[in-house]
Amino acid sequence: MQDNLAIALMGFPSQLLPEIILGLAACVLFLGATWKVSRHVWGTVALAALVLAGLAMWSVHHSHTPIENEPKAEFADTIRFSAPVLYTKFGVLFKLIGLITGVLLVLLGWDEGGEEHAGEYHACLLLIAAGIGLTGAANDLITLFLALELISIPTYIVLYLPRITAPAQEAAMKYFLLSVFSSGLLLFGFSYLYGVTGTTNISGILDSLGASQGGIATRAVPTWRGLVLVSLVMIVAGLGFRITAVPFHFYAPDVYQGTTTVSAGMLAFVPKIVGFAALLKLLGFVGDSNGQAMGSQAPILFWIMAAVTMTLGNILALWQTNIKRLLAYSSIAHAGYMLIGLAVAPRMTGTSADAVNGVEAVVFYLAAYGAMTLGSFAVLHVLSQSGKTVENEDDLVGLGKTHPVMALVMVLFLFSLIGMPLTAGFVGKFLLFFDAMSVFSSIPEGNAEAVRQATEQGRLYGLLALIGAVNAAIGAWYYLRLASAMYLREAIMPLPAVKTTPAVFAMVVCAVLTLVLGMFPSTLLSPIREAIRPTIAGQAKIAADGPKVAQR
Amino acid sequence: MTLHAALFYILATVTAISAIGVAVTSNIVRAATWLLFALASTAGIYFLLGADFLGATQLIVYVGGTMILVVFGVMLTASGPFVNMKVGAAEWAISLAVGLLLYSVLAIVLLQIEPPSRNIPPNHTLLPSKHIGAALLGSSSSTPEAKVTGLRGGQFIPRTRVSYLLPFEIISVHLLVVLIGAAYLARAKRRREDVA
Amino acid sequence: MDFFLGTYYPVFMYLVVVIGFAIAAPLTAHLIAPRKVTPVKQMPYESGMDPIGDARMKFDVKFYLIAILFLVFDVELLFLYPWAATNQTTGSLIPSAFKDVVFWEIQAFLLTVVVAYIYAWRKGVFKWR
Repeated sequence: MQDNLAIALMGFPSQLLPEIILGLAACVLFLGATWKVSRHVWGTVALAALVLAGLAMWSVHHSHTPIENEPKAEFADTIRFSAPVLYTKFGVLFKLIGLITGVLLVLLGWDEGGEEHAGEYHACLLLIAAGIGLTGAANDLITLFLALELISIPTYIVLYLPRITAPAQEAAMKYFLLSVFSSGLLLFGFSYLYGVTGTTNISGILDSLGASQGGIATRAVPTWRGLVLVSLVMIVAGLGFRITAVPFHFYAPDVYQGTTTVSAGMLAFVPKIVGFAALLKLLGFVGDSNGQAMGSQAPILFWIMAAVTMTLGNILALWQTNIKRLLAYSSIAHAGYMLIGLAVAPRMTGTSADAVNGVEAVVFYLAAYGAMTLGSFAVLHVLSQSGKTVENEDDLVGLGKTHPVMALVMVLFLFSLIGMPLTAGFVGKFLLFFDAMSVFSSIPEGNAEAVRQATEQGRLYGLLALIGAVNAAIGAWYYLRLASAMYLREAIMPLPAVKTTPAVFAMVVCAVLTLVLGMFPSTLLSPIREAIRPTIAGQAKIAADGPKVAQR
Repeated sequence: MTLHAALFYILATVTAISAIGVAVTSNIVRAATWLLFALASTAGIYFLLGADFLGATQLIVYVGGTMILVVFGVMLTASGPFVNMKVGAAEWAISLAVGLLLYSVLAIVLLQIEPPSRNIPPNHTLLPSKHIGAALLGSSSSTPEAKVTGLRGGQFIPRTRVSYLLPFEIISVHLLVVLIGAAYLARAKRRREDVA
Repeated sequence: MDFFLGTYYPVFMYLVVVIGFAIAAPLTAHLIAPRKVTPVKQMPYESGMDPIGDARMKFDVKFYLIAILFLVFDVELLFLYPWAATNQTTGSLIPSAFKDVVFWEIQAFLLTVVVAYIYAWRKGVFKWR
């Protein structure tokens, strides 16, 4: 027992090898930047560090067994309920996403800002990549919070470093203040969770909240439920800022517009992916905890947030002429689509093994969204590199004739954002909407009251899918408007020719990812399914724990 | 009423009044002073709860450090002798409504719960800072074993055995980045002065 | 680990003395001191110098940066204190299995502090100019 504990508490240095490498490389960059000023040297070092971290991940993958596959149940439990980080398939997935994001950001940021800041800039990007991996691995409220802050704090510097114009400073300041405020809300929620459960270990929290039949709703001390709900609301509010869910979205357009194109692309993706990762973890949708504890407590909250977020994002985007603002509102709308998955998730436990449940759809959508959003910001960045910043819709006019390849790539990303078939966006939207629809078809057998309730809920989620479809149509309008501006109108002032820079490479990678995820979704979908689905032992535990449809 | 309770009520009253003072006053220096009292009496409450390291931290970092930053910030930016923040009536009404709403939700929720049972004996006689040190460094034998909630099927799982070794290291990276941000801020300010 | 009031008796006594003195000293002066108002006595006292300008002036930003640096290293120190308090105690506070790990962990923590320090030094943050 004591040995198990020692392994649980001390086993993390080897499994976090990629993050440790990234952290050390960041230290090297910080120090090196004071001796040598060169964007090519430090960009190369950062890329090398990311590759090295990838190799480390590969070697860790071969030497460690994910906790789900651990044959000794008691040993697995000891680790799960005591370790600050877990080596899970979910964590591996996020490490991989973090490293890919890191590579893309380093390539995009290669020519960003003044050369004298290149070292610090890339060091911050490496720490952000490490933070994404750490968020996926965190198994403790404190580790989770610190991992989220490991992304936020370098982000402030990244926002502030490249240029000292008044709008950029305002954007950095606005983001900083609101981000700190949201962290405060998150901590407040965490403190209540700790107060209720007496532990900071996330597995422990979920276990004790879902301890007996049907979660805390019917627990022996129902009076604690209020505390849990307050903490749930606070956590959702704190993370809602990161995922730009309405009503915590209002900073996004101003900040994206004010800051540089690369920083805007980073802000559109990185906080969103870690925000959703943290939500999935805390709500207990990952692995064996099954969402009974937290996730099913306030389904209607996510329902409303999803509906309002996507509608508001899409409708406000209609009026935008600044492309960065437009993409900001589009990122809000996409957060709304992803929230559908969270709203549906508690209803989808226990459906057949072939169906995709809401959580899997969310993770897939996150990856797809990352490829297409980073890609479209990359196109803007590449076009801006010859001097003139491409910001307004009018700057793109006639791009189809002057830069046919760039226009084609941009159209690919726009089609993916719309959700056209053969692109990643289509698969993501299809999975989410299909999930919301299929709640209706999975009504359990049972007594009349349960069937009636389930039917009612099925209608509710069908309505959500309908709202989503209407929104997708509204979204198509403004994305197509951009595309038509590129192809149907003549350029008055053609943009200068595009230089081949590292950013072009990042753009190509995004385009390839968008296409591959669109045409062969199962390449990503099956690892996601393995990461999210409970193990066989976990399923048995869940079945013993209580009814599948939780009480409202 | 025990001395304990009396001290708690005194400290709680001071905290609450000072916090209201921060929100109500429109003079920024006065707000800073009210904040000082609020933070200091919160530290007092930490001491009262036996968390002497936390109380000392609160005094050193917040009362001693952050407050100086606030006052410096005021002195750096003040264009006139008195900085006043005028707040409109509508803003007053909205923030008052939101604040009261949040307060009532929290009050209702907190009044619902049963007071925690007092029969958990303290199982150690460590000084709290040593205690925290042991926990920070990965020895989990001394973390508090609060058993507030039910356990599944009577099965015992050591819930609170959590090592803070890794968070400890992440914090050091945080501080590194913060310092680099501060250093950059310093140079940016200086460069602008050079230009001017 | 409950609050043991006896530990804090000296603090209470200290507080009583401080507050008592703070009230008593001005009060005594107010009650028994003779008053002869002259223009010189009405002037603000600045260590015997004649006061120049307004006391409420803008401060140099350098003070602020020093304060930030102080705060960062202050927090570093606070995280080291619990280790210092635990490390030298005898007994089983840190099990022997963890001893080595703890040592290297502290080295890593100190290393990041040193990195930050060297960075700030190289960047000329500590120069007062």
